[in-house]
Amino acid sequence: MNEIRNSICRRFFVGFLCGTALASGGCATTASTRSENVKTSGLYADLSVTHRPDDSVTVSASLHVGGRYGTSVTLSGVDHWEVNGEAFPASDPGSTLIAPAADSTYNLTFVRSDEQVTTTIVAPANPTILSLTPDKIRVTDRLTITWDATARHPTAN
Amino acid sequence: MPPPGTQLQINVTGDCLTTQQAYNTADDGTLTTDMFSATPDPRTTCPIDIAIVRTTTFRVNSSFEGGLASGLRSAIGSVEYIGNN
Repeated sequence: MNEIRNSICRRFFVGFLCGTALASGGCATTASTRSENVKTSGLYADLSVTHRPDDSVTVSASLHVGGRYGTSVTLSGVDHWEVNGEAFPASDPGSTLIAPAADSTYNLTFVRSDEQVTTTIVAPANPTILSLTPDKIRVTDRLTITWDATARHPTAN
Repeated sequence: MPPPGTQLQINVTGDCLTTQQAYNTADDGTLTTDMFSATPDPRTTCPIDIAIVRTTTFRVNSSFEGGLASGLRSAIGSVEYIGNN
């Protein structure tokens, strides 16, 4: 009788451990939800435009449920992103390389079956380096950097 | 949700430097660094890269629950670290 009871207890214990491991490990590594199941008002959007010195521009867009560090959202259904009217490549829904806009304004639009939600990002002015002094630094030196701070800071939205 | 604004960060890196230095500074056009920490051998030299990253943040469309939108542009310069030479 005791053996049967012990066996049942062991199985419960092992089952509990497995369940806990699946719940914590499984959720931490694979948790995501499909965008078509979430209203726009329940989505947190993390958007960025990076304009590099070589004039390449990368745009990234990610969505989460439950705040910035919440469950990630995978685009599904007809949901997709467009940048200045051009769709992100289907194979690269999170980030994409695009040509720089002439006026540095990027409209990122989340396109759904029933709405289009646009956020405007204006790339800041290029922080042009004016001088680096001295140009040869010794161990006891400090470097003075000057850059163009007269650039206009953009406003949007 | 933070309001729109602009930040400037300067990152200093170099193969012979023992620490990378990052400065979050006002976008007022000038910054003087601390002295650099470098490898003990004063004969060591290396190029030092200086990257200036200007970031502007915006609110996302209010249809979303929340979020952050940012635009970044950067410039890179270089000087030579010459130790005790």
